[in-house]
Amino acid sequence: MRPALAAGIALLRREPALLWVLFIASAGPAILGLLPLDRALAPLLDLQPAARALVDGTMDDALLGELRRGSPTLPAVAVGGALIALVLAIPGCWLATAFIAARALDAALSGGQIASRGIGAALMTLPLRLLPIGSAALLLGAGRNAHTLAAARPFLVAATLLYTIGSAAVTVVADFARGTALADPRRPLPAVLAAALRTTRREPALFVALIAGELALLLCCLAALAITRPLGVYQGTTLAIGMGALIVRAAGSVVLIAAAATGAASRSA
Amino acid sequence: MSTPVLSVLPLLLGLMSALRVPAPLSDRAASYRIEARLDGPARELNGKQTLTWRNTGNGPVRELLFHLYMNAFKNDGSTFFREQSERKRPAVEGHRWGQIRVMRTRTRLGHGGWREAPLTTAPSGDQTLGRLRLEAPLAPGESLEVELEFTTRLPAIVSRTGNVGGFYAVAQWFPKIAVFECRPACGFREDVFHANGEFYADFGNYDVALDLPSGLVVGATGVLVEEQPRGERQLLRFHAEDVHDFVFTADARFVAHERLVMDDPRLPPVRVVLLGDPRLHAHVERHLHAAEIGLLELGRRLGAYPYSQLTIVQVPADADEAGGMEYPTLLFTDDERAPSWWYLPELVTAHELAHQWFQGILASDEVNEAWLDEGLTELATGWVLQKLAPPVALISRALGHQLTYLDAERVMLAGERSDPISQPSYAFRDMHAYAELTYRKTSLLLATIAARMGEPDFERALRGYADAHRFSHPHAADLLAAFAAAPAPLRTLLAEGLTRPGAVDYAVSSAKTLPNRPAEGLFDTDGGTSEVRDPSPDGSHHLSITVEELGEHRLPLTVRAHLRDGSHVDQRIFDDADPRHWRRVELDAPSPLVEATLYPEGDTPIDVRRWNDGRRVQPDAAPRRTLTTSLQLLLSLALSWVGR
Repeated sequence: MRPALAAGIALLRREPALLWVLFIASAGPAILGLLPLDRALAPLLDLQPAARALVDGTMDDALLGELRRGSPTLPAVAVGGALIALVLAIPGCWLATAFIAARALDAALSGGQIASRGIGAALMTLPLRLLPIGSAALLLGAGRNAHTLAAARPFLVAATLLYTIGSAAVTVVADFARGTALADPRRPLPAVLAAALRTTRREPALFVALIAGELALLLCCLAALAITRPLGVYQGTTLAIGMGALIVRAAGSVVLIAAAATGAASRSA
Repeated sequence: MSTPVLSVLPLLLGLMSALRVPAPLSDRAASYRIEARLDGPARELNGKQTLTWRNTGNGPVRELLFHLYMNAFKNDGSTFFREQSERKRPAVEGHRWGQIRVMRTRTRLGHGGWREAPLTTAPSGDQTLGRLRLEAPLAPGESLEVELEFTTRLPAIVSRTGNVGGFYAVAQWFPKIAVFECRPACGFREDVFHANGEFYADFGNYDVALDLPSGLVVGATGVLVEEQPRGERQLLRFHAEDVHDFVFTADARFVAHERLVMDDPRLPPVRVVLLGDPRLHAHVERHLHAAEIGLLELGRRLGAYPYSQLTIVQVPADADEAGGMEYPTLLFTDDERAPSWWYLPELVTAHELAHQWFQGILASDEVNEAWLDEGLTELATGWVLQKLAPPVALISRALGHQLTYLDAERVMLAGERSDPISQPSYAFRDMHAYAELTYRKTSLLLATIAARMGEPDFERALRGYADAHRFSHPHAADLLAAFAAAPAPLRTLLAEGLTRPGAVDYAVSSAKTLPNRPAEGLFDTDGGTSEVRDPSPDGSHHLSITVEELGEHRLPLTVRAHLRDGSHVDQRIFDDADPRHWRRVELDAPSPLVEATLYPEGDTPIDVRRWNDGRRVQPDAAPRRTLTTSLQLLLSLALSWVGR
């Protein structure tokens, strides 16, 4: 476990610019995706004194509701933008992750090989991602008939935990698979997935450490959300903290990706 | 005071209240003695009732009119089902229709003998009214007794009545005489059971003996005065005075929680009994607290709650259509899954509690003037929420977000302007228009009048209305009369707001500012002409603000010009008879205009759009950028998780 983590930290120290690759992979699509919403809001907000009341002090949810009611296309613009961002971000993150893993392994592969092996490995793990999502959905469904929120809370908590921990575990498996795929470019992709799953058994300490790392980074992001008042509105200090959280998230991810790739490659060899 | 005494005191006070024999509070025009037996498996109540009815009119009465409300659920040919905006098949769950059949009817005048007199209904279609022809006219002031034997089949829970599983909400279950009133001609109110709108009945006393399966925990209008176990059955007798309906509920799962409300020495103590579903235990304290605060607050504002007991019923989740309904001394609340910062359970309890005054005590016509109870109840609900979640009445407050009750009302009203408020409930375009206008618009109209009159004057006027019409049937004119001393524009707003479709919506459509400078050009001087060219600004500024009237109801208002030096200038507009739908404010000021806003006193909650209540001279992108940047950052954080 330790050598892999040390390799991850060493990579970040050696090439700190790698964190910006991940930063841009998630922030870039988000910025681009929500530009249409920004344009749609300009004629609605810029000349209205009420816009200041919306974001300063206490968030007036009635103003928000009235804005939505008065401009019924706004939610569609926002959701559409978020979907575009998602479509851009997922392959972008996969490519960025593959690139970081290749740097960690010092793999002598072409850019095309890195991209195809990295995306291929990620695609192989997609069915696994349904496991935490499906389990959480089942739990939420079971809790739907609870009469009070107190009665529904155990289901909600269990679903949240299951999804969060399960997703982190699948992410680590995907990182293992990516490392294996890049370390052994001739190995078929299904075998890469099998090898990644074997790595979870053979390197349980590393597996758990990487999951813990993923969860710690998630907590960091959630903390950045929780400190905003009103919830979700970033201004001044909270904006700086939010950006900091995103940078920490990217830097931490570089370490985890590199550690997973190194650990999986050593097992694969 | 010692602890044992303290623990016994509530019981003693409750018993004393239950047994007190006060003077009549109402005219008691229609009083009932009912005996009914519930056959659980058949979902049937077999009853016999004796109605004592007095002719309160000024002429003889030859025919009596009865509501047979349960026939609204007999088949989907009833007015109730035909008026449903979205017809469902089956109209009641599991084809469990409801019905009331009157088998025998007899009348007796004074100490004379009983005479058979059939109750007739329409042969088909809506059968929610029954007519009883009297053999001899009943003179003004005379009373007669009517004995009716009936069987009521309970439907699946529909429109706040019926049965599901072991839960019973038994409302509108007995033949009920219609309201007889003179406005000015005397007659019965011939209202069938409509999909919108509720009920209307005369005050009286109710003495009701219920023969029920043992094990059922029962709550009912009035107080329990007798309880006899009879093997597998139980006989319960309830007594209520000066009420206009009798409803009961039963469920073996109910757990009773009690609280004695006696915090204000000016108000009589009230025993609050909550019949709780154990699965909803988490909300018990919230309902009780809301009821306690509500009884004190509404008692202080509208006059004391006049009954010794209030029963609150938690409706099981599978019977949610029974939730959110008021009956004399008994209310069904609602238990949506709500965290503590979302005051939804409290709101429903406060609303149904406020109905104890507006419709319970001030028994207005819920069919033809539904706004008179629903609108005032909405207003009073806000008062209770303000006590529960000060300093402003809140529906929710969490993590820096908040939604006030009045704002929620305004957003829900959403500028609905399809109908006048003051019309029969069944005349509205649809259920949405009915709900938003009778509840929300009325409440916002009154809140605007309160804000502009000042709370003390408004309270005094409303208290005058409440005192004058306690235990009677007030109408729209009575409420309007209560505000006769209000300023003319407010009286006009109230009258027009009730009788004409429309909304209040003012918008600042333009805000401009220019530096003032002396005129340029050619000017006459002594003996000649001089030219002034490119004069320097004189340091003052000319402000021009245009306000447009987008709504149909007019109200004078204040526009405030905010100047760059931090000062402001106010101007009153729309306070004249000019029929144009816009006003332009032209001012000279020492500093340039930054923005113009309306209602600086926050005195017009009924204006349906707050976004257009102001305008900046120059665009300010900062708030938008804050919002967009926040969303971009949130999305980035989410993508950094999902994308991995």
